[in-house]
Amino acid sequence: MKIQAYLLSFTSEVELNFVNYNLKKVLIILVVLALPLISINIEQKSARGAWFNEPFVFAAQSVQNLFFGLSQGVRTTTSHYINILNIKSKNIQLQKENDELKTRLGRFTENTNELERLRTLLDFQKNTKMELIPAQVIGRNLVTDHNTITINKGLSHGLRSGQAVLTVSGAVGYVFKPSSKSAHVMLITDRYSVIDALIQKNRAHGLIEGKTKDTCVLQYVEHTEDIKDGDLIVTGGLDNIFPKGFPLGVIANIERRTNSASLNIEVKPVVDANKVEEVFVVKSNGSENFLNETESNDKTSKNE
Amino acid sequence: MNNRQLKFYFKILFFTFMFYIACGLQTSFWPNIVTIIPSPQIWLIMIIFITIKWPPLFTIFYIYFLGFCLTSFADIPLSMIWSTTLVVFTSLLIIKNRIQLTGAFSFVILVLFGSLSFEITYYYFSDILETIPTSLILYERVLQVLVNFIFCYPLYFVLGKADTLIFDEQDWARSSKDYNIGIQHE
Repeated sequence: MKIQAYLLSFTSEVELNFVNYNLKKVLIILVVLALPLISINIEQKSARGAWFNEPFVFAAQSVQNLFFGLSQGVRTTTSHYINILNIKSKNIQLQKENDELKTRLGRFTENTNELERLRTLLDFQKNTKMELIPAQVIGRNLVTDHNTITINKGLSHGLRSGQAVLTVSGAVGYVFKPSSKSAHVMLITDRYSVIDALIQKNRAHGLIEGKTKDTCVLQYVEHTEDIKDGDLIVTGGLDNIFPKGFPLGVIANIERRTNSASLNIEVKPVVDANKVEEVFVVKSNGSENFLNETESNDKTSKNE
Repeated sequence: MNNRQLKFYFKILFFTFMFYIACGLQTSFWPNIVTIIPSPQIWLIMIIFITIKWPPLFTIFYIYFLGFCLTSFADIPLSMIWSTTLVVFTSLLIIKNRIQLTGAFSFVILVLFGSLSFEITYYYFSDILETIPTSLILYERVLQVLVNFIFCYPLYFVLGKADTLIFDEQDWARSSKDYNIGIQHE
């Protein structure tokens, strides 16, 4: 009672010289304003989130997995429904057989494409010295300012922060916030992403930094380098994240500033991360070097 | 704990669950089905809704909690989400208490204002708080605001129903006149 009366005394107006104010309201407003300021100071970029984050992350990844499964079902059902609408307009008996055969053929073609795609992924996994963990993309960005994806593999599958994430076509990004069953992947187009890169043609080194959803910037390439639009940018391998020589992007625009010693090169990534569905996480790169492979692929395509 | 308090806590739990569903829908369902336009930020529309409808003191701390939950879905710094939602919350409170409006149409206008203030605030706060500030990306931001504007009308009725389903205590027209900061629930 005494404590309650003591606290209640603060709710009444307190005279302070010529100013009257409600102390309780002021304290509440101060606390509300202080929390964001405190969060700025205590925030640390750690490889793994704090222990009190785990239940929230688990709830988030469960929801994402659920919606991912639901979206797959919706897509399958929609494509089948569209097929059925086309079938209705034709002759019933013959068309029914014909359409049934066409549907089977469509499924067969789909399965064949799926098989071909998976075979390509499997061949890639088999023919490389890298130890790869396949993963599916289950979530995308929440706001336009951050370019990240969520995959369905995490610490329990052997993932660690800083591991490279790539597809058969090229580099996608790297793991930066793994939890037990899922992980956030920072794409190479994210503004916080910095990857060691080199121009395949002349081995000029630079750093790829993310800029917008579809572009990156290659920095610190000397003014005197002989490069042009369309040149391939590959990973440099110095950051020990990506294997050396793996495709990153293609030069889209070169800006030569007179008051700068380096060029400002806009790069378009080879992989459209907004459409990618399956990725590989590099558990260990096995000192793999793709540099000679990408050169020979280029020569073969030029000869053809 | 009496029946009213139980209903109140269940309502908070229900809204938190709805918030998780909204975030999951935006990150994992919509991008796989609709690739042309971005997903509506239902989580932001929910925050705007509870800012308008619920008592201010409880709401701001609940919004902070929802912001913390949001960081599980994406790499948004906590400082950024708390700062921007605080600005959105404050600006909506000011407008709500100045304009005596009710109804879905007014909610649509407030969502438009709230989405705009979120995007603008995020851009400028990123310049202040983050080591590498975000780009303007004007087209994406305008498109996001428009998508929120279009989808908030049907969401008003869904959220309104959810708000009154479990625990119906405040009418937002009356609450706009209520300047008491304390929680009104008994």
